[in-house]
Amino acid sequence: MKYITSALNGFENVLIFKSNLMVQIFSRIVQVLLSIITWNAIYAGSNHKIIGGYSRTEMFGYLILASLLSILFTMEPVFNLSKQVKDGTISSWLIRPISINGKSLANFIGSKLIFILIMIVYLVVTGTNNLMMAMFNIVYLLFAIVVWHELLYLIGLLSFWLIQMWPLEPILNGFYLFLGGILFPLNILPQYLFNIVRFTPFSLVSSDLLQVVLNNNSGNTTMYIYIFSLAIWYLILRFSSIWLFKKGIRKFEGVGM
Amino acid sequence: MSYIEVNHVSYNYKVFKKQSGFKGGLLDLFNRKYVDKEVLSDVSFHIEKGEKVGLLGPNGAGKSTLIKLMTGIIAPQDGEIKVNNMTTDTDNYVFLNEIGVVMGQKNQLNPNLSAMDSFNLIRDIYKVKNDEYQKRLHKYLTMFDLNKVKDYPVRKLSLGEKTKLEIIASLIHNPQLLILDEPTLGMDIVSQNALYDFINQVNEELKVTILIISHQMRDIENITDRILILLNHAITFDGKTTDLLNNLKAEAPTIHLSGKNAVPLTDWTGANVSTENSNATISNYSKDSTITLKISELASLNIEDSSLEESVYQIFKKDKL
Repeated sequence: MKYITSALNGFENVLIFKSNLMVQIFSRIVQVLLSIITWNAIYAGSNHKIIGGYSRTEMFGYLILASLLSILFTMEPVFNLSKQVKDGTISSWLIRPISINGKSLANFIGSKLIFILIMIVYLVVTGTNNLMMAMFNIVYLLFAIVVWHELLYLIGLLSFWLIQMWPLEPILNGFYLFLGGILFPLNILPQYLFNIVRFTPFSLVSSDLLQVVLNNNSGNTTMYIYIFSLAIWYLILRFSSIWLFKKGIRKFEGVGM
Repeated sequence: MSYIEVNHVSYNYKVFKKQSGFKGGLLDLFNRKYVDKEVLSDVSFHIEKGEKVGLLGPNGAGKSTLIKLMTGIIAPQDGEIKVNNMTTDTDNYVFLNEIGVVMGQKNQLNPNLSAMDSFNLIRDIYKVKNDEYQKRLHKYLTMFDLNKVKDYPVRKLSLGEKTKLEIIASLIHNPQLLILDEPTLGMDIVSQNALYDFINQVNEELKVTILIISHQMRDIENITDRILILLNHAITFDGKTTDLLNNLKAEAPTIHLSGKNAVPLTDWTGANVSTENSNATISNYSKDSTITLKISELASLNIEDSSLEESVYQIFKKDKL
């Protein structure tokens, strides 16, 4: 129950800043339009109707979905945790019977609730001819959100050692835009490179999820491999964050208290 | 066995020792030197259930470290701390249910949401039954006259209102030990008095043990029965608040005299008197001292009633020298 209340507080926290929410949605629309214009020009200037296995319409569909996903996979968990460590407010939560990691995840899910629901509706609507597949995609999406949070929480724990976390933002953003397949579909890359990068957590939560959703093929064993890979990554990240948290808290000076 | 037992606790921090200058900075980059900084050394004290204890000490004395140890945020390197016979540990939820902590200037309430949203979260964290929660909350909000602000975003409230709401947030789960770090920071006198009444009432009715850290002597005078003074990494005073206050008050206050044209004193014995122009300062006198004034020459007479806070800090300063 405590994590549900925490998620609802995260949801309210977003609603309270209506203008921020509107600006966030507007900036994503601009980003998608720019990507569509760029790829439209590439298709117009090319003699091929298919580039990297994508027709113009498929590419536009991919970019719209990628952009919607990029609203979900943001960096807040890193900076929220870092702020709590730097100003010492993490102490207020350490002394309450709640997991810092669980609370962070609940808050993150709560803050993204609107967009998660939009994604779920999209998956249900586009998967009406194969409900099992739609359900599978929803489970994949939710699992991807949990793994993404765990990855960022682990990075956020570095704030026990690093004074400033903001220099990491452009690096993380770069990794996400490239490996997450936000700029272009990763299967455009040479096959050997694609086979390496698609099993990174950035790709598994975003690019691979997009491929699974767009290819909507229940007979494809690749999607089971992706889910299995996500589970492996989750275990690695979870154990690493438990270990790093214990090390970090020993170093924690708590800024006064 | 006492309710709180702190036995021979020591704690050191590792601190990076920076070499000065550009060359020093470069050398530090490749070969950093760390030194052990002693924060607490063989600290021991016991607190009984229901006691109201004040912890005093100058900045850097180790008060915050001691509180972090007592709340289980960090573990002692030597010695042990037990609260209600439990080792302090943030992984032990039974222990965490036992304590409530108000940290000065550390918000536990979400500034963007109403206090009620944060209170509801705290209710769920501690699994407080809803009827108990409603009853307790209504009582506390009424005592602090906060019913009308409970639904506003916390960031819109005054510092005093926020502090009072923070105190309520730490009491919702009915803790048996309440630790208050600078609880009256930013509060006006009326609110401070309300807080004293509130804490004393909580202590009397629920037998909650109170440990308060404050630089405000009013807080100490109005709440605590016992004082611990932390100096030079150890407890240097552990006694009744009244004893400490009486000792401090026993020192005779300095008297300042001004004359119209000359010093308005004719004679004195058993006192230190210093004069400058037509002014005189009298100190170190006792009940046997004799001081004769020339009333016709007297322009003003002031008795310097140094505050208790100042007197305690004089002790701290002497110790530092």
